[in-house]
Amino acid sequence: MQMKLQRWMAVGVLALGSSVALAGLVSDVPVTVTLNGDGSGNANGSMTTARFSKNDVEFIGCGLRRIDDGAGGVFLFAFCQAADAANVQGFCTTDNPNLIASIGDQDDFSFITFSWNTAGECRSIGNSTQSFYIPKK
Amino acid sequence: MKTLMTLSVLQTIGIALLVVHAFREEHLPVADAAPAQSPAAALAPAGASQFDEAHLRAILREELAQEHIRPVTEPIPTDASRPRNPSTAELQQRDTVAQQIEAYRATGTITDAQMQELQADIAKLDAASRKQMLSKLTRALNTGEIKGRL
Repeated sequence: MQMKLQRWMAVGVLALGSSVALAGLVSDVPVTVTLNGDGSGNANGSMTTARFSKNDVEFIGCGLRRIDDGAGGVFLFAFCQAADAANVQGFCTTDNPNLIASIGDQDDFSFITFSWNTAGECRSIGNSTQSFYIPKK
Repeated sequence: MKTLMTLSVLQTIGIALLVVHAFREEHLPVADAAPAQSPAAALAPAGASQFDEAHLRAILREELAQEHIRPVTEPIPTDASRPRNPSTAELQQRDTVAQQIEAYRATGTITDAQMQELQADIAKLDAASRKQMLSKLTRALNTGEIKGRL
């Protein structure tokens, strides 16, 4: 009786194990931030990896600000920011309409990459939305 | 650019006239004893040559006259598109924002609420000053002189 139970338990463990193994490709891409001596730099990483990392400093993302200028207009700019596991931080801002538009392409589980010049202005903003960036079950 | 285009049009017309002229000449009987004529007149009968020359001159006059009366189509920079110098008040506002950033740099940190307030102040500046102050703030964040988030 006990032998049978052990066999069933083994089968159950194997079945559970195989379901985990068949979850599809998962890619963890921690945030990296590179700061150059002249003030320029770049950063990239997966939002999912950053969010579920073991530290409490890592993050990456981009956003938009629309602010009433008090004179009937709206000041619009975009920004990206990131911090790696060592809390090295990188930031950029832009009022370039094409770069601002690229922010809209980002999704919940995107891999994000951006770079900036010596003035801290964004030079590139990119993203990649792939199934392997979606968090594990 | 316009002059070049006009010259190009005139050149094309001239070539076309020469081609027509040569085509006509091919179909005319050759005179055995032609009197001494100018090279242009030698290519065609005297009447046709005079007509073509006069016609060509008329076209040239017409084209040149049109060139002179044509309105200027190049965009004239308007006040809105021309970068203007910021007013004294705008410069004062920019200096105030610059001082705020310096204060945060001295403190070494900026809260989310303070960041929002600072960005609202930057929004009130003229376009050039906005760019300048955002750059100043971003550089301070990148160097770690100000700890915070945008």
